[in-house]
Amino acid sequence: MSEDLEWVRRSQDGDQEAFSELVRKYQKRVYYLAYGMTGNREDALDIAQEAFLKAFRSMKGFQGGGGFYTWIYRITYNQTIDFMRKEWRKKKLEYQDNQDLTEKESPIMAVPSASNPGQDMAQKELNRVIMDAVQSLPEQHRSVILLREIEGLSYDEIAEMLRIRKGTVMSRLHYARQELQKVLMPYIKEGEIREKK
Amino acid sequence: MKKNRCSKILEWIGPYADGELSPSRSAMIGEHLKDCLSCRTALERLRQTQELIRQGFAFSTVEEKSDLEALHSRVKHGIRLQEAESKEPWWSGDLGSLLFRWARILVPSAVAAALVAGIFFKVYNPPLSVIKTAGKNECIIDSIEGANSTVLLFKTHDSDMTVIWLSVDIEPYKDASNSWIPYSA
Ligand SMILES: [Zn+2]
Repeated sequence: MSEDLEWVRRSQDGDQEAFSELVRKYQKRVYYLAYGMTGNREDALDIAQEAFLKAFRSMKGFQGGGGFYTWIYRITYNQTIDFMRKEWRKKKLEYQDNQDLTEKESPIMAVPSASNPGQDMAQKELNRVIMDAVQSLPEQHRSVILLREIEGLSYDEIAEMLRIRKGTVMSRLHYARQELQKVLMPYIKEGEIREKK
Repeated sequence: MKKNRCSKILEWIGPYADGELSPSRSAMIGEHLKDCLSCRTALERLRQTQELIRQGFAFSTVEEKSDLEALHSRVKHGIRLQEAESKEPWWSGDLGSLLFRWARILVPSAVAAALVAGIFFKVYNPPLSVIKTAGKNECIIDSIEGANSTVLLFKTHDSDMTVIWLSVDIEPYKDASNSWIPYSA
């Protein structure tokens, strides 16, 4: 935390190297949030890049309260929402344009992510099911599930990040998990339940 | 009775798994789970769901590494670009191009002003600041030098024509690429 403060202060003075350290430290989490929200690696890269650039531009206005992590996360989140709204509008237009071309793959369908040679097909298939299930959640629920399951944030941290009440975090999380469980039920092993005490 | 109790427990099962409950409530749920298979099943399903979500998001290390390296260099590059843009001199931005367009009007007005100044010089006959002579028949009345541009006012001896040369250093990052743009009035 204190190293963050030092890097933040130096970044505010225009030190690009100090900012680069902040990027190195948080890029993975920023990237995973963007990826989790969009389900697309290329989009996630674009969003994460723009989030960091935006952060650098507005570094002087950053007060330091709540920490750099919360701040960059909020920027990323807003950036993602902006992106998805634009994308949604674009896709809607494309869809209207392509409605007659039945041979063409519907642009609304998710594009499979780039090849992953280390994984076997079954695991890949399962990952796709999971990603699609997460993507199908409303964005408010999706963000909460990502912050909890992937980022491992506490309820209080999620509430602060998304500027919602803790009770709202709990109810959204509850809903999101129920929805995901419905989809993932075929992959849940009942045997493991019986064996445990 | 038991069902009622279970539905209450199930409401707290998520926060229980997340370690977000007070110790007393957490202990109470733990006690219930010991005796209740259906609530234990619900907890196990939740844990497996959580595990699946994490799995689904796990990249191969190779992919993750290449993506993050790409991101890091893209951010670095972007910042350098951003900084270069913000350091560009004022005249290369909107204000600069606006003034450049206005130069077509401003420069002839400056000529008029120079002519008035000429009358002033004639009347009061102050020491004329001739900096250098660019040609046999030309005389520089005045020159205004800025950091990146220079304006020269010429007056030809043979005619009444005044020529103004505006020098703009178009590429501030490269040396000696001055280009002279003539205006005449
Ligand atoms: Zn029970």
